Amino acid sequence: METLLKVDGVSKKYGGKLALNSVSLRIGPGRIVGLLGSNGSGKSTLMRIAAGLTPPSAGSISVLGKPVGKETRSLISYMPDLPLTESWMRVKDAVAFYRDFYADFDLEKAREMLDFMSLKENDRVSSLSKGMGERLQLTLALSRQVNLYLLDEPIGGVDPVARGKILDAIVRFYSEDSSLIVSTHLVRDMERIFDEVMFIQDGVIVLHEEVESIRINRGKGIDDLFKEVFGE
Amino acid sequence: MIKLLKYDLKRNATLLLGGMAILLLCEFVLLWSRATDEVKIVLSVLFFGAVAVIYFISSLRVFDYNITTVSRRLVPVGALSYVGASLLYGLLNSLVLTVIGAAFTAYMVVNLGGGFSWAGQIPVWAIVLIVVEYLFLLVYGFLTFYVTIALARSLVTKGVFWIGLLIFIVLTIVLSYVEDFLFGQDSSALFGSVDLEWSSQSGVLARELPGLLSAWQTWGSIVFEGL
Repeated sequence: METLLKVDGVSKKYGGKLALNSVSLRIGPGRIVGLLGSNGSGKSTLMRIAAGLTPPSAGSISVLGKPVGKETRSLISYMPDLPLTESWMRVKDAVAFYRDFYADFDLEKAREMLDFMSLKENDRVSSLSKGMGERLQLTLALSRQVNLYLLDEPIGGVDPVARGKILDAIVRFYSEDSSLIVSTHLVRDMERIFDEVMFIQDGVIVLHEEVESIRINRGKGIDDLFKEVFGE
Repeated sequence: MIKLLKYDLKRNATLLLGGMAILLLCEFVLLWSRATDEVKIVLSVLFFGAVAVIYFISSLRVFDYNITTVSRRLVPVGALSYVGASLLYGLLNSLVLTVIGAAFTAYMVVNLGGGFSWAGQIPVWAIVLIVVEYLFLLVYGFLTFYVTIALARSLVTKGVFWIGLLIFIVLTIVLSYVEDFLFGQDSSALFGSVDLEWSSQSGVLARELPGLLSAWQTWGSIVFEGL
């Protein structure tokens, strides 16, 4: 099986603090992977490094065999935990921004997703609620036809109704040839969509396993295992 | 690069158009007011200066925004596109402001008393040289600030302004020193390529029409800055 994302011994230091400690992993195509950990565990740092926004302090990372950089930006769609839109924009401006910069942007899919998400093209981005803003960010990220989607806390801070809608959209609109890595600490809400999960604790991947394997071999759900590993 | 510029202009459209509208309004009110010529000239310079400062800060913020925000850093463009788009943004705003300023200056020269008839005698080559050097100064100035911002951003996350100011001062002093060492003059002189002199002869203000300042130091200094 072809490796989509390959991370080899990646470490990241911020000053004296070690945010990632020699992380290695492989992600194949057609998978929805949960990157799970408590706040400050290194999830966002790993996502930012994979997206090419932050260089690692040590180790290497590649997408489809290409080292992460300008070239891999067209292979990855990254939804950070901060808005990708600008306050002056209307929804249609945000869509136009993506269409202008990303040749792989699928306008038809974006319109279909906007409709599914109950977003109107003339809505002002600055007037959207947190939940609606997240729906827009997800629409923009998933409307690109890429090999790897990175979603950093896509349901962080949104109400249960919006969470359900966002999860439904992920399942419905993500391309099955691609892979999707979703970082979150809201395990109970999201575990139903994962094929495999990675637990990250203090910058170290402490578990990387298929969801089915966890359920069969350990006899427990992801949320229960998460509480067991991260419980204080 | 042009796409980045398009979104930079859209993002700052309110500031740019608003600033321009207020400036034009103030200038027209000033021109049609009963203020003395001196007051009109001083206030006019103040208005243009204020808008120029706002536009200049906006240009620096655009570069800073382009290299720091996630949405801009994720777009698949080369690193030079960020510099190019920000530079074009700064040049475009500066040139629009310059053209409007030149138009008002011309109007004032024609309508606010004599003494400026010599302006029509400036040879075309001197005007071209002044325009070229003006553009060079703008590009050089913006790039110097961009280098400062990029260095400050890469060194620290907090106190970027103060570190940037320190880098700018050091950079300016070092460049001036090197230019002084190499060419016997630094970059502080504006429009050094054209020599226009005024002198008092027997109590009458006389002027010498522009001549090309051919000293190798001047051109060496400009080439050095260009490099």
